[in-house]
Amino acid sequence: MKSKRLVFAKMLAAAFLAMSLIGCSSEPKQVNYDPADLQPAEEDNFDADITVVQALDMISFDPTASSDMSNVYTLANVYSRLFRYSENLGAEKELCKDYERVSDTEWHFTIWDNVKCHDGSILTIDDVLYCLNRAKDSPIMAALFQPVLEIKKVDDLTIAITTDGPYPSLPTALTNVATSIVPQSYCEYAIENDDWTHPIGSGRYSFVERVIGDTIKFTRFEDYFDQEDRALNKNLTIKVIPEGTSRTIAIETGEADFNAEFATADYERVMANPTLKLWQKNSQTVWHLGMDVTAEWLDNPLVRQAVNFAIDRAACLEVGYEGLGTEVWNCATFAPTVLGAVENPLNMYSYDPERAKELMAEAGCPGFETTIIVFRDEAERMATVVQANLAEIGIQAKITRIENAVFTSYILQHQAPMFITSWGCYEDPDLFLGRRFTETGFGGVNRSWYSNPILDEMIVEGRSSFDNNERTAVYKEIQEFMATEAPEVDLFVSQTLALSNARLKGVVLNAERADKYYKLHY
Amino acid sequence: MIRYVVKRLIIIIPVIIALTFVVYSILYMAPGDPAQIILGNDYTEEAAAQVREDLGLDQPFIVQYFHYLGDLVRGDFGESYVSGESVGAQLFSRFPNTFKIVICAMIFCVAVGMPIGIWSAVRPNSIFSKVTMVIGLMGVSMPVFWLGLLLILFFAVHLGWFPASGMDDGWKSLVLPSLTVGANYMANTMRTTRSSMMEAIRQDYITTARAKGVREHDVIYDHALGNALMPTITVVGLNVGALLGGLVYCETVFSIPGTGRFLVESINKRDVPCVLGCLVIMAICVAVSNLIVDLIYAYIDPRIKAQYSGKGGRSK
Repeated sequence: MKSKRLVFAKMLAAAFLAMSLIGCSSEPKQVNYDPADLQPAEEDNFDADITVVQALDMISFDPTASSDMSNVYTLANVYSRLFRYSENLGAEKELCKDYERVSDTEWHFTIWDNVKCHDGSILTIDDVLYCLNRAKDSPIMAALFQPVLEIKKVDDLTIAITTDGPYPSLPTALTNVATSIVPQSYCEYAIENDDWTHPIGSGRYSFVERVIGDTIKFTRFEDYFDQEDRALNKNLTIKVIPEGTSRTIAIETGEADFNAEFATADYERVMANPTLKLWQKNSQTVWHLGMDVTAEWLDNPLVRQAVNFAIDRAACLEVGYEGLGTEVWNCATFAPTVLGAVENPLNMYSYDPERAKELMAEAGCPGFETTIIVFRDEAERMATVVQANLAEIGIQAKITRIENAVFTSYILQHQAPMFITSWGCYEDPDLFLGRRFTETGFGGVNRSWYSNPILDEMIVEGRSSFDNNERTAVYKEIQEFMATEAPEVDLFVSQTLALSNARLKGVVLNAERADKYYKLHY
Repeated sequence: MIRYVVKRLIIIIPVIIALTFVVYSILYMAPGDPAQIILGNDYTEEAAAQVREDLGLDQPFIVQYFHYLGDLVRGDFGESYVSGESVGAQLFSRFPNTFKIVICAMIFCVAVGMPIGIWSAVRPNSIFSKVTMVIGLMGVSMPVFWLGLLLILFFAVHLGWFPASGMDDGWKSLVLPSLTVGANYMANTMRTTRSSMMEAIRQDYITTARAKGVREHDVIYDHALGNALMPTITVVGLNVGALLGGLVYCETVFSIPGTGRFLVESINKRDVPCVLGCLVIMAICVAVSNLIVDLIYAYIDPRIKAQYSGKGGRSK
């Protein structure tokens, strides 16, 4: 009898568990990111301890060690830069109080006066000069600082940067993590002793503690130079939770306040929970199907155009990203909010398999076999759609999933005739066009191996003016040119997603991900 | 006995050297250039050449390997290719978490698996025995990451009894990860104990003991269990190595900064010094646990003890 009761109790427990899990799904509700929520009210609590969860641990407090996103958004709390990211990944002033373009090739940047560091010392212009020169020598800034000829001190608060020609996107280049300003004395100590474990900066937080692979703790720096923009929470903890569902659960259980990297797999479950809030905003991350233009048949622009007509972008968005994004019809990775972006250059493309077949016939291509390389779950799902689309026009594609770590090797060895990945754009296209579609980026981020002297000239022309109207016209021409060249099929722009409990205020999303943790408060 | 222990500890050294050589060779030949991974989107041929030079990756394989081995002999695990931080410091920070979970999972395996195995062997046709066999089968076949998520959803999200992630809540943080990673091995322990106990119970000396009127409790625990323990101890010892493997998933699901997760992250980044550091630590754990198992054999079985002490065996 006892045993039967035991079995019954176990069955009941199993049924309860199953019902609990099933009960988690229902119709989703949309909650959109609204910048108006940012305004703090007097009655708000500005002394809260905030815990933010993210997928990966930071790499190093050495600003020139890595431009990995987890590193960028962690270091931003402890160090100041001359400029920080604006909402669309442009530049907005931070440590730079004022700046002036003295000539087409010389800029002056003036920093705040009396900027205190976490160790009580005063940040000097020599510290700025030292750090920018150090950044200039680092591989991270090799492309972004390529036009920079010289960085020199003008006076106690001002530096001058000289470039080899007009470089309108210089302030945006100065948002890069490698340009973070660290007191020279600390930097030299850290380099000499190979010890960056106790960083000193002039950012909104001072460093408290790091448990490698787990947490990084900061506390508000009360002497932050811009008192009107100081941290709105007392203590900030960045916690590393690699698994997407575990990050969601951390918010559900209250172990964390904010999930900076929400995984779409939990979308419906989260929408059904009124105690949570999902923050959504269109990003500048462009998911695209790239093509190696040196591969057989893909070296023919007509075939590449055919591929552009053949792909059902809406299906890719739905299957790959739960529909959380916007379709795009570009071929040069211009997200809609990038300077000069055109929605559908020449109004050329639509989902039109018949037109694709015509172009294949025009190119004399009877169809061929190829491979689609992917290294992320979303891309793998999209690849199944692309595979079916390509089959309709006679291209038999095999999907190969690889590790992220070997993707660059595949590109370098021309083993990726087609690949699906994403690219996060700066607001200024000059900062990515040169790397993505010229010889400079071969083997790096020019994964299509595309280059063309005509495009090279247009990129230089786009950089040569400081007038955004003139530049916009050039970038429109570039997009039209690239639509016919078609080295890639831009599929959609995904949404930046972040999750918090419903009470949290001050959430900021930029076009890449959640940003400015210092504004989080209750 | 001491001589035997020292001998066994010395044997660990060539094992470690062989392990590092094999792993170093595999990582060297595996696709994926650490310089490319470190530079990511900032990759250029010149920058990559510079990184390779800085890290010594432009040296021939054998030079790189012996350079690493030389450092290892001096107790220096090297520096991470990616972060530049000391691998030893990172392992020192992470290993205690892994160790705690392994110990708790082992306790769970033994404390739950063995009694259930014994009880179900003593009453092989009872409902209890059948139910535990089903649970055992489920335990063996359930993937660690899936069980981990289920336990989190039930005990952390719905009941709120235990934290869902991290190691910040003392003993509470250890419960779910230990159950998750231990479930599989608990089932193994249970099944092995059950079968070896059933085997022992059928022996003539047990029948004799019963015929002599020995109490059933004494028959089971004094006569049968002692002889049935050897296979169970072997399985428990082997479980240490397998547990360390299982922790790779478990630490990811529960966001525990341990050696298993560190290993996965390092492999993904082709961070050779970190991968080797993790594996060396794991190899030492496995070797030491096997040694402990051998010593427990000696404690339980006087015949083996006699061999170790040189009084009756071949090992002399």
